[in-house]
Amino acid sequence: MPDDLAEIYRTTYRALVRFLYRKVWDPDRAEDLAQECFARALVHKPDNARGWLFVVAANLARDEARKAATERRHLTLLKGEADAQAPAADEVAEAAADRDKVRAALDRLTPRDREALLLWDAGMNYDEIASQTGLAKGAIGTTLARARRRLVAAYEGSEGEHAARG
Amino acid sequence: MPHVDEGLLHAYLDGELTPVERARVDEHLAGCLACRTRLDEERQLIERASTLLGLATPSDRPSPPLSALARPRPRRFWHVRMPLAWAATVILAIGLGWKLADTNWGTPPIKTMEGPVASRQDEPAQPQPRSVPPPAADRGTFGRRATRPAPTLTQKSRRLDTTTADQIASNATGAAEERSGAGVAAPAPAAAPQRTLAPRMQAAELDEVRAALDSATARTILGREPLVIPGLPVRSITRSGRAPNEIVVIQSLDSTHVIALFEARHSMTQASAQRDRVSASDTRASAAAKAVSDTPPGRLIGDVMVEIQARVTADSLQKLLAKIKP
Repeated sequence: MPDDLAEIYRTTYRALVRFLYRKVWDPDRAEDLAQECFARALVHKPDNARGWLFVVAANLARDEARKAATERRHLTLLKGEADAQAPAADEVAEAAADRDKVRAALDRLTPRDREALLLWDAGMNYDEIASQTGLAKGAIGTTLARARRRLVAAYEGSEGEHAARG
Repeated sequence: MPHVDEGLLHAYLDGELTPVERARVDEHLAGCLACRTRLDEERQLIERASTLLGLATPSDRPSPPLSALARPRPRRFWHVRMPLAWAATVILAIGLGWKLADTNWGTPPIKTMEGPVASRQDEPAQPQPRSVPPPAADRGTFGRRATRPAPTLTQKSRRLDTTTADQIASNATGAAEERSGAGVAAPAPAAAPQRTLAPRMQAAELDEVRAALDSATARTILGREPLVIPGLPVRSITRSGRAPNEIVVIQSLDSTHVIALFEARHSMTQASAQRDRVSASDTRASAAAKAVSDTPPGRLIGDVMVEIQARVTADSLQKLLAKIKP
């Protein structure tokens, strides 16, 4: 096992899980996929392991999203019933509501802005984000500025809508 | 330097500018209140966005050691396929064996008293359909060697002398053929479904097959027509083998069940002694009889004692026995 990969695993695993979670929105699945990324890295031994891991993670999450889109159609009704049957505790429900709003706000971003923002939040620097997204490094600051502004606006907007409805 | 744009401000706040770029921005900010104000706004925006993303973070869990994620080398496909192929072969063989064991080769074997316990319960005996005529060669007799069920309730040791039986049979056959179709007690003996014995039976028990009795001989033994259950085809009438002057009438209850009627003049019947002999000399017959009933139901009709055995419930046996008309 290469030492650098062990070090990357130590420093990056949680970030990779977080990155994946914000794509698949399932903590267990995010863990599974993150471990899958490292398992593949152990086999392929990529040069730039960190960047490689996030590329693989993004691809896995994309595949996962395609599958989920298919399954979601079947699960919509079931989910509605389950939610109605098992009301969560207040704190958990509140956290879940916040998470859902962030998720909805992220969905309002363009894929490129969202990717840049999630990569930044996962600990990648501008060079790595540029490499990953194909953007020029000089454009990353602008992209992130736009992504952050839209995320906050979308979140506050949904809160505003919520307050107006409430 | 013109005002610092928001992309540059974010890169400045993210610490992603080169030292040269950073120095230039610092220089501008020092002399530009508007840009310093915007810098504060962007800093708050970044913090807010980061906080929001923090709301969408999975709870921390202990991560497994990296070594636990290492996979064994992928196996060559034949390493996986060979055990699967073997498993498939074994399952196929078992399935084929099962199927073959279940298959009736040609006609179903005739079930005798030794056959498996029947599921048939308490159903009234139905007359067999008579649309199919039996082969001409079999007309006029109650049965022939190859078409009779093996009288497995009897035993070799108690059998009639085969030569004598054959003589009786051969003498009787001519007479029976002359009277082909003549009324005998059976409602339609000629219409009894003719079956071939299963190969297993032919090989193992052919020597146990007793010569058929024609109705005249049967009458001589019993002093009257053999008693039968009306409406059921008679498959054979033979000597019982367990007493010199006892005959056994085999009738078909349905396609899988036969009924054995042991008939003897009452004066000659020593039922308990016979049963003792049966149980002592033939465990198979004893077991078969026991499975039906410890004491097979009997009925005295005129001076003929009729004992019935079949793989049905005792209640059904009594009902069948009651159907016999004097």
